[in-house]
This record gives sequence, C-alpha cells and structure tokens, in this order.
Amino acid sequence: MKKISLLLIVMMLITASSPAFAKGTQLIQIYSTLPSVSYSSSSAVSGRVVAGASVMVKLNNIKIYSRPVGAVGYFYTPVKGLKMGSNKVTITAYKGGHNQTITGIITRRNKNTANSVKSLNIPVKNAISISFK
Amino acid sequence: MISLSERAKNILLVFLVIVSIVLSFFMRYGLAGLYGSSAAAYGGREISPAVLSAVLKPEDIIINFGGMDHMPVFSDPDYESAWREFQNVIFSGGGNFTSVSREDFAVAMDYRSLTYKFSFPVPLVYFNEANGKKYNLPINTIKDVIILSGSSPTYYIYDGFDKYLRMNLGYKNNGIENIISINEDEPSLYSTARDLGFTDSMDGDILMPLDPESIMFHITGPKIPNKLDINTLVSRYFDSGSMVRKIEEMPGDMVLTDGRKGLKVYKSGRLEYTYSTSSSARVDDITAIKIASDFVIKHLPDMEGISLAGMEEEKDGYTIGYNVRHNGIHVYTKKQEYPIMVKVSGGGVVSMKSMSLGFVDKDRMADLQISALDAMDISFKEDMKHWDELRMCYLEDGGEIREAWRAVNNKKILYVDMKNGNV
Repeated sequence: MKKISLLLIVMMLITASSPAFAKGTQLIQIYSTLPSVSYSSSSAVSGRVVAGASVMVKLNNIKIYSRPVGAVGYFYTPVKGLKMGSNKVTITAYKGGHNQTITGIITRRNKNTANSVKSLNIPVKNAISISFK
Repeated sequence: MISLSERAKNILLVFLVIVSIVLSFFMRYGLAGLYGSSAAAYGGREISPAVLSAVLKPEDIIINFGGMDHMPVFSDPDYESAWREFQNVIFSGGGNFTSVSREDFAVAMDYRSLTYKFSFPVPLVYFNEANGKKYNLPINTIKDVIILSGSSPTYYIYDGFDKYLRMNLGYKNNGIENIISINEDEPSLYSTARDLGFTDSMDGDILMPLDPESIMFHITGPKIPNKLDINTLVSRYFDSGSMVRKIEEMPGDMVLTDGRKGLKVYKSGRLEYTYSTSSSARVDDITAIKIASDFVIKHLPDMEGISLAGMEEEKDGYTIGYNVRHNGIHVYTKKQEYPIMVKVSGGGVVSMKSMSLGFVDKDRMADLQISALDAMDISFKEDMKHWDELRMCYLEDGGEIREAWRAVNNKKILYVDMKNGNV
C-alpha cells in the first residue's frame, strides 16, 4: 500500500512539473515544421487546437488568420508575403481566460541557393518559443 | 424409287431444319457466342480499341510544385497533355524497378512531379488491349503513379494492393517539367493532409486548398431535353423504322418505347435506358467495358470528361460505372453510385442510367463560402470521424447542380453544400 501511495505521489509530482501544468493550459499542437526554410514568398502553418478554442496567426506582427475552430480542431493557413531572411510567425490559441502562443521563424532564402543550403543556420534560441498565460 | 421432286423436297426440309437450328443458336447465345467470349463484337460489328483508350483515364491528376505546394489539374488541355506524358513515360519500356516502401511513395509527392490517380486498380491488360501493345511492367494493375520531372525521369508506381515500385529511366524526352512550369505562374495552391499533419483523421493524399478566396466555380446545370432533343434521342436510341411510342408520365417525365427498348427521360434531365434481351451470351470483362463504353460515347455525345470508374461482375453480366468531369471538377449524384452506370448482359447493353444528357453553364460564377475545415466540422456533426476523401465537386440533385464538398468515410458519403453548409 505504501509503495502504491509513493508511486502515486511521484506520478503527481511529475505531472505537476510538466510545462502544461507549470505554465498554463496546453491549447495548441503545431503540425508544421517550425523553424523552417522557404524558397518562395509563401509557406503554410497548420495544427490542432482543443475543441472550442479560437486561433490567430500573425506574420511579422500582422494578423493573417483568425478563426474560431470547430469540433475537429484543425487549422491551417498559407503564410504569404515572406520577406527575404527571417520572418516571425506567431500562433495564438484562446479559450476561456487562457491563451497559448507559439512563435516560430520561417527563413526565406533565394531559390538559386536552394541546392547549396546544407543547414538551416538559424540561432536555435530565437527559432521557436512557447508561452502560456 | 424416289422421284426428283421428292428428293428436292427432302433436301429443302433438311436445309430448313439446319437453318432453324443455326438461327435458334443465334437467338440463344447471340452473335458473341459465334465469335467466342473475347471478341469485341456488338450488334454484329467490331468495336475499336480506341473506345477503351478514351475511357481509361485517371480520376485525378495533380501537379506537385515541390514541397508543400500542389495543384489539381482542372483545365482539360492540361489534363490531356499530362495524360499523354503518362503514356509516353510509363509505357516506353526499359529501366530497372526497385521495390520501395509506402512512405517512399508518399514522399515522392514532395518533389516536382505529376501524380496520377485512377479510380481503381486498372489491370495492365486493359491498357494492352486499348493500345494494341503488350506492356512489360512487373505489376498486374495500376492505381497511382508519380512521375518526377527531369530529362531522365524517375517514376513511382503503386498497384493498388501491396506493391510500391520505383523505376529509373535513362534519358527520356518528356514534357513533365513543362506542364509544371506553365502552371506555376499563378497557381491556386493546395497542400496535402500529409503536409499539414492531419493524417490522424484524414487520408494523407487529400488536397486542402490554401487560398480558398481564389477558388471560383462556374455555376452549371443539367441539360434538360426540349422537343428537338427528344427527336434526336429517338433517332439515337431506337432503330430506324421502328415504331416508337411516347408515353407522358406525371410530373413531366416521359417514356419512349418500341416494345423492346425503353428510354425514360426525367424532367430533371436524367436518363434511363433499358433493353430486353433473351440472349445469355457471356463476354469477358474487357469486352463488356468496350461494349458499355462504345454505347456511352455514342449515346451521350454531349457528356464530357468520361472515365472508367469501376466495374462489378454479376451473375448475368457486368455493371460498369463511369466518372464525369465538368469544368475540371467531378460531378456526382445522390441517385446512383456513379454519374453513368451501364449494365452489360447477353453480349449487349441492357440498361444505362445517366444523371443527365450533358451540362449547360450559366453566366455566373460562385466562390467558396464553406471551407474545407467547415465541411469537416459539418460532417463531424453527422458522425464522420475520419475522412478517406474530401473534395470539391458538383452534385446533381433534383434537376439542379450545386457546388459541394464530398466527404467519404468507408461507404458513408456526405455532400456539404458550399453555399450554405447544408448536408
């Protein structure tokens, strides 16, 4: 009995220390690869949010997509007008008083350099971040 | 001593008995019985293999620009030139095959390429018969094919069952890259459910429009036959000199019959043809498709974009289904599984059902009011939890053609109206 109680306590501690519980509610799951590299002026982001949430996507702080997500929970949007170099994509899901934001970088490169690119070469600490409120 | 006249009478009697036996044989087994089961004879004449090649076409052709960007081929000229390239590359012979995994095949759509998807695994012998050649491929059926662009094209082929193969051809002059390039200037882009990561609930090959605002549809309707069309139908469906009676039915439907053949013309434009035959001649599947396709092409000349969608062998013959594309979009009807269905029995067509004679486009265009995700949410409420297919289509319904999303899961099919979201 003691062992079972101990196991339960350990499991509760592990759960409580997970990011979702520590910092907020997990609302979004991003399916797109972020950070990523695009060789054209457009890309796309997609993912799934919990039922009843709304989602908003910003490109370089300008809103490009906003939608109350339905029962299935999927969302996707093209990300057009990428400038050469680094582009910040912010995806925020809202539900009730909670929100979750995921920020990622899409780097646009010249098409002609496509074959010579060996790595993403993006500073990882700036490439993606997740925040909860 | 038998007199000369008695002998003549005996000979005549024997001759008449023989003629009677021969004619009875024809009545029982039809002309096909004389030629054997594989002869493509119909009504005493040979059917050209060109009839088969006219309907052996892919259900969908998709342009893959590389990465997440794809586009279904809508324009008929692009479809035809892409189809010619298929035949040029796939049936050219040579090269070596390597077995690949299902994942390798799926990843091939990320390269600059063209994807060809047939409605069902088409037996290779159908293509042999259609083109009068014997193609040497290490598979018996063709379901999906991806041809990569390049002067030495590689292609991937899936037999519809468990075989995925990659073929590396040497130098082969082809126009795959040209087709991709000319559509790249102003593409209406789509991504696959696989690209978007939606495969937990969707088939990975489903195309999702990335820019729904750019999608416009021609508003269309079924061709409703007028008096002049009825006369044309009589001459098209009935033998010359036969006595055809016209029976008006309520509410506005009409039946034309000469006693053996019947043609019901619905007010909505739907057609149903029947022919009663006592022949029990059996033909093989290729001959049945040839007979059915020849009938469809000749009797529905205004119907465009017809392709073979599937066939089912039954006790007394075959039921053959055809897909129809109009303005590059598939047309469906709730009344039957395929827009055109033909039954072949006794070496001939005994019934044909067509959703219409053809289409008449209106001068207006419609945009996409209900998105793919909306259509998923709406069908989710109708208890659809997985999507094997989700595509934009035209739906014939009671004499009208509406723009709709077609959502399929196993045998369950839902149509979601693109204007108002009604199921």
